[in-house]
Amino acid sequence: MARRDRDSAESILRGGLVGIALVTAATVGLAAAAAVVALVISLLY
Amino acid sequence: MLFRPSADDLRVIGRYTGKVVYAVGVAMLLPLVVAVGAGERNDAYAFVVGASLAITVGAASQLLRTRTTLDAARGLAVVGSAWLVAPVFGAVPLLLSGHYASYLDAYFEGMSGFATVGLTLANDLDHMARSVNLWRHIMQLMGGQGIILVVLTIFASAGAVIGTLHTGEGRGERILPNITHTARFILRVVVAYAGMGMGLLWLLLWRGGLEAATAAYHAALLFTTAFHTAGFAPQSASAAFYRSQPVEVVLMVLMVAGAFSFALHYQLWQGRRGELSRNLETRTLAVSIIAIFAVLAVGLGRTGVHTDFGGLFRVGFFQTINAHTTTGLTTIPHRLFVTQWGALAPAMLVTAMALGGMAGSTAGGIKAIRIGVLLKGLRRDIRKVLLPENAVVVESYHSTTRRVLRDDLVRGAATILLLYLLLYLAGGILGLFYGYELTLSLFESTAAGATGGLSVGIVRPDLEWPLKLLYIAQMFIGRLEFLAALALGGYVLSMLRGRT
Repeated sequence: MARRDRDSAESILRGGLVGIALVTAATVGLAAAAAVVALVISLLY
Repeated sequence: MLFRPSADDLRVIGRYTGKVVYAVGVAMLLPLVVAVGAGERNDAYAFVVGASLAITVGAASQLLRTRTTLDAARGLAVVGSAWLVAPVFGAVPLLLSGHYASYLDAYFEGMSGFATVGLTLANDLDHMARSVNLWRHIMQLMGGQGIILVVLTIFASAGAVIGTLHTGEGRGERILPNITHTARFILRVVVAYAGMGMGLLWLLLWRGGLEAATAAYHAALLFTTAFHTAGFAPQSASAAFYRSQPVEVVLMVLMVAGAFSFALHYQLWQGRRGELSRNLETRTLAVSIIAIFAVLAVGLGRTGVHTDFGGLFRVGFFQTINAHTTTGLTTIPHRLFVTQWGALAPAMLVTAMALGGMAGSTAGGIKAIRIGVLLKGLRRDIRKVLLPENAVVVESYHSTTRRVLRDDLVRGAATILLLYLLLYLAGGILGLFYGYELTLSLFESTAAGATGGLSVGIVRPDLEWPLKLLYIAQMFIGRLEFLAALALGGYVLSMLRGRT
């Protein structure tokens, strides 16, 4: 029972870390695309 | 033909709505403890009054005995009535705090909180007691995660009938087969982001000069508002109060996470990173954010306010994410949208709020999945025109798995799109009637209907009362995506005009 709980806690922690990392990566990806757009537009003005 | 609901129908709706009222009362005990601990004596009394009222009414409603089960129609009516009634009680401590000019203003604030909008009618927010400000954010949390979810996890004796409650609140997509498992997963996601978000924000604010306890208070409130895409802020200057780029970065990650559907979170927690690039909703949202940011940046460049890369990127991108996720935090004073941003850039913020985040998240607006489905439908129709008459055209899209685009899905998306546009327009027209400019009026109306929460200054304590009422209706209808509001309206209509 204790082992199952520990496994479950580990899988939750792993899932949470992966999930948060992927959402962070998605935000960074959007920011990178926006940065390129901002750079081009700042050069135009 | 309409049939008048039976007394049993009304009893079951009253009983379940009462459970929500009870939950609101119990939730008030937390700011009560804070008020007592912080020595905010008058506010402690306000919470005693508010909690006593809500708990008494909630408990009394449980005396309504019924053998009727909660079917889909009644479930939707409960969702509708819960969202109308929760602010009735949530407004009590707000009114007694002395920061609101009338009960209508306090109710407006309550609806704005429970609907995760973020528009505020508070006077002198910067001197508001911590307990009262905390309560504003707790309403956002309850509204964001769904008051109904609280009902499910705390009160309900598990059962399939409760599953119907999810439909109206926009969490119709089953993440896991069992409602209890779904609720548990949602809780895990919230706890994970709370740990990460509050920890990072606390560290940044503490290192930025706030006392440890004050930093913790601000971190908790900022996390709540950003992750629930809500928009209330601890200070009147909103996110600009902190003048910190790292804080803005953390807030943006939290806003994006809040605008992601829990079905997508589930896929990501399973390590399925491909879902980010393949899912129709994430693709639509990403393209929309970048396209809107590009036009907004052109608009800002033309006004000459921000022509350098740093200004364009920092201010423009934060506001785009903020508006598209329908959060409503801001890093610049609201009046600058009117006085410095010209016409194009604010129009892009309106567009971003109108489109909103993902279905099954706390974000409002039309939702990316509906836009994606409509564009797919358009593509299918164009292909039908171009291909020979007897060609079979099948359009598909990816959402967790590969799905065929059905006509009823496109029709449903088009209907909701039209309803949202009419909702935004309604507030815009009434604003015109009271003499506000069309662009400003549409901005504020869309902020209410899409639960966006950004403001150009029309929403203020001396706002005309018919506009306050209309914005309340827009926040309510927009939050519940029409279905639950229409079901409740149908019940009221059938009570008045239905046959027995």
